[in-house]
Amino acid sequence: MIVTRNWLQEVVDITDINTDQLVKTLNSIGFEVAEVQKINLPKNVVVGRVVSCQKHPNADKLNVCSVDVGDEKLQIVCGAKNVQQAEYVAVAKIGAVLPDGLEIKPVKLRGVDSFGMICSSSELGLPELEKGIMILDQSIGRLEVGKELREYKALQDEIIDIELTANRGDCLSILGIAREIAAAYGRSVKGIYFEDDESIQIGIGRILNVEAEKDLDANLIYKAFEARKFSNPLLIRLRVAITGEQFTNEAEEFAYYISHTTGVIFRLYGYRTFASNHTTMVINKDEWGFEAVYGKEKASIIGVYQFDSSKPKKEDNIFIMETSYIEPEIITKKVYNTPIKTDWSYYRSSRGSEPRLGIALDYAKQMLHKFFADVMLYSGSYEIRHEIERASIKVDFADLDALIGFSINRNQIVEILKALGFTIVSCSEELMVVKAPLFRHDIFNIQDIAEEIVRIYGIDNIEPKPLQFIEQNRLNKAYEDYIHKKSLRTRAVAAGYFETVSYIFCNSMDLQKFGLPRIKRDLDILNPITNEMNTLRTSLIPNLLEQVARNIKNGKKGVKLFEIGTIFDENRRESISMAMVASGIKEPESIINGGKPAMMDIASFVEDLGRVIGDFSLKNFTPTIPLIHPYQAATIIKDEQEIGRVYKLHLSLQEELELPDTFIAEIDIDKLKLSFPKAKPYSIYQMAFRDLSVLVDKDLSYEQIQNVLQKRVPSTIKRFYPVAIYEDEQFGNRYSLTIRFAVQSDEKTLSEEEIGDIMQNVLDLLRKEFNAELR
Amino acid sequence: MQKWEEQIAACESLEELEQIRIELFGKKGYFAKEFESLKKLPAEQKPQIAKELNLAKNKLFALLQYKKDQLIAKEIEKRLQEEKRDLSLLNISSLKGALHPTLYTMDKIVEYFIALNYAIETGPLVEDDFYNFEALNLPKHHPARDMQDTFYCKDGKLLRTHTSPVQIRTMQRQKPPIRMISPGPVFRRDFDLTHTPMFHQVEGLVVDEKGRVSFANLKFLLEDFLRYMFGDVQVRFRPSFFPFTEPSAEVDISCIFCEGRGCRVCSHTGWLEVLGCGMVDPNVFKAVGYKDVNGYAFGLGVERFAMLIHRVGDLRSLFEGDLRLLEQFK
Repeated sequence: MIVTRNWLQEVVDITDINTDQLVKTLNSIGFEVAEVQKINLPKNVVVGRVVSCQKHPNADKLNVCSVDVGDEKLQIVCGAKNVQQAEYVAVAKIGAVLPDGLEIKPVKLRGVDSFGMICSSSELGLPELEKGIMILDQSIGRLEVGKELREYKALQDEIIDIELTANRGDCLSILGIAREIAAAYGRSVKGIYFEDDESIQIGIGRILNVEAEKDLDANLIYKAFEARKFSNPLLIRLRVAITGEQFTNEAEEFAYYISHTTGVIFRLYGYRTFASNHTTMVINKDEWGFEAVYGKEKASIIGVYQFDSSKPKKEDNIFIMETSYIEPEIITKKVYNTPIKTDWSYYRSSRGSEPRLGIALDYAKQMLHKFFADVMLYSGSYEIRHEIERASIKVDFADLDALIGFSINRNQIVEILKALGFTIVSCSEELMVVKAPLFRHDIFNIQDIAEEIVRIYGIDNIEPKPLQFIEQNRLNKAYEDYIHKKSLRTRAVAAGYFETVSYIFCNSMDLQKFGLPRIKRDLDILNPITNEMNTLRTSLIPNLLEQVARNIKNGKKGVKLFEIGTIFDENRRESISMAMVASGIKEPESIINGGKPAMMDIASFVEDLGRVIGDFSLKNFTPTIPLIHPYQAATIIKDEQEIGRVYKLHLSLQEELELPDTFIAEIDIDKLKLSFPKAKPYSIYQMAFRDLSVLVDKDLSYEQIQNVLQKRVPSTIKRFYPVAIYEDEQFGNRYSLTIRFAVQSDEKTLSEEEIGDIMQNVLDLLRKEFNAELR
Repeated sequence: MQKWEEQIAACESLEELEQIRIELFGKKGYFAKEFESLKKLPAEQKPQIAKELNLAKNKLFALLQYKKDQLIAKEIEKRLQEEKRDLSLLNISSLKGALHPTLYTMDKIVEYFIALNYAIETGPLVEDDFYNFEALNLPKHHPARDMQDTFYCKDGKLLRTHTSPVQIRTMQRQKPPIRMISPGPVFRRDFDLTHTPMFHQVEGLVVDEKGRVSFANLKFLLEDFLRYMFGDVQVRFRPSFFPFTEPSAEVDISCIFCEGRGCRVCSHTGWLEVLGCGMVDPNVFKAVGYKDVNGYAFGLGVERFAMLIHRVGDLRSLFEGDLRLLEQFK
């Protein structure tokens, strides 16, 4: 919402409040000021009058003008189409420096001397009006040739941009903001009144007949006037432009200006577009239930849209003024359910426009009277009433105090509410009954009233108090999850991985390319923001790989990232997943590795994984999706549960993404829950270690051997683990595998002989099961 | 005797010294022989000679021991020197990774509220219109819905635009008193320099029987919280509007970059907007069937906090996994 000091001044006296104070006050009562901009016209720009205007002898598009600037007449070459004799214009004299830095100097334009420049509004730092130069008129003050433009009060203005909250439709007007300022400073708003000039006694009924359906939701008043020429004065055009709106139709621009000033939805219709002679205007519900105005055809939808055909045209000289109000709840519901075009009026009507329609009519009449020549008002009006009533709200002072946590003086409360236009229906020591003003459709209950009081009283004046609360245990599942996640994150960081956050969106083509599932089409996003993010991710991997690739492109030789985030399954069920990715060099280049660190490999990656999730085992699997390397992939098993998978990125994807060797782990962290581990008794006798090197078939995986050993070795073998593999041509189709066994009895220290027997049994078992031979 | 003392003094290695020790004290050594020869001496001479011999033996033994300690010390010193390393060569970057600045900031926020015994609550990211809007006093036609451009799914569900639906779910599930925060990602259909389609919020809610929770309590909490996060800053409350709270306020802190003097970051206002808050609107309580209660709620954008605290200039860089940024937080 844009207001200016001068514009506000028309409705509330703020001469004694400087702009800094005003901004501070607006902020403190709930109107956030986004920006303040001072109109600063350059020096040496004066009012001039074009005395003569002739075609430039050597240029079709230029004119040579003689411009009276008071003490002299200047010859100025001007390129604007709209320059005309007898017009008052803004002249930048020699020495003037325009806001864009242009310094005016005497110049020759196609052989003709020019001693100044006739300016357009934008050249002076004002908003752009029409193409060409700015034609001055008396709306900015009495025009005196030679007077500095910056001395005109109307042009010494400050523009205040307020970020209005959606509930305060009543403040989408100069009058609304003025009302709030008045309340904050304890002063009153100057009213907008205009005494009808009833000297012309032609009644509106002579030219217009209004037929309205019963049970309309709208409040409407129609009046008519006649004007020879409809042309907005400079002040109105400048102010409308300052608010950021642009209109090609001057009558609509005028209507907008009246609306912006008063908050009432105001429209102008061209009489001729309805009919030639005596016209009947029909107000009916249209096919969607909107209140619509019909002439020869549909003219407008009240509070929503005006069709171009009904807007006044150049040839029109009779104009019908309409002011309207519909409760925002009614109109927004209808618009929500209908695919319909809206114009500037709907922004106001949907947020609650000013229901006191007379204000706009008075203001319009005032403006017409002041700025337009030969305006004749038709007497009388058509009025359609739909009663609106604001409910009475009971306010218990004790409740109010408890809600605010601070007691505000009762009289002060009453004063604040009155200043804001509330009616105090009754008031006792304990209880007050208030009624919101018609223009406040957003007030329903005691908390709404509390807000009004608090913001004018000032939140800064409320003393903070600590909460008193009955304690209880708040360690729930979400807390456990949080702690669990935090501990995993901390461990991943300690293992050298960087946490990352990526969008939960991804590209459906990527999912397909990687062979990852996609959520069912009928559950997918209806309105994605970009094609790259057109679906919800079913895996953390696509976005992570993109981030890895970006880092490699940026020149990183090694990338280690992890993320914990939500993923979706095909039925869009949510779960939390963790992923780790490592690509390129294993560690930073340093003196330790001679500046040539090894590349990441699956073994080192699995080691990293162990630093994060603790003990686990791996079970080979043969993947079927293009994402995963078919010969380096395993399921992660922890506490006899599958908790995820670890694998190398498929080489074709690695090539495509231009990555070095890349390794990935995906973990279902819900299955990694922390519990209280239970201690087991342990043997106090000496433990012996024995290695066994055997030759086994190449296609035999360690996993198979491990499974058999786990089941069949005696309890004296506490642990076993592979420590070496060795391949050699002389072994043919076999390889050498060395397994280390930890041998220990719970009852005694084992003798060499006993250990030998145990190992012999193990060897026999391997021979029998796997045809292994001792190397 | 003199000879032995000189030999010990001249000795340069532990091996040599050991040789001397054997020559002196070994089974066939000097003193063994001397004591053996004592036997041949007349009885009256024996004590005197034996005493002298013992004295000499003790003295040489002590000398030997002293020399040995010296040699060991010298030996250690030599090895120490051999092991000399230039540790300044090892000024390498550590192998540690780093937490993400956004989530680290969220951790800090969560820690504060855990310390005040707030429960953590979570909810689904794909939400119903009811939880995300309706129950929060945002009916379908409400103009305030414009403030939150929403991602919809084809089945009418939506991606939550704020963490506030968790308030509703929690209140439906539990009875007052309630004291909770809800951290997590939220989604809005907006993507430019200062907006990303996903960001993180932390939402807070306190509800108790009527008369126990006030706006003054809310002020107390948030002033303390913001000073915990940002240090010694001024805190300013500005009345504002949210459909789900009434009265509502936006909370500013004095600009941490210019200390309130006005700079580019605070658009020369001296203030930074960091929070939204207010007293829970009665319509919200109505939607969950609560009666005779009061409560306050607040919500903040974690990225906003992270950018201010960690001085990150570009919001979008927080979602790119770019190590040039992330490595700075090791």
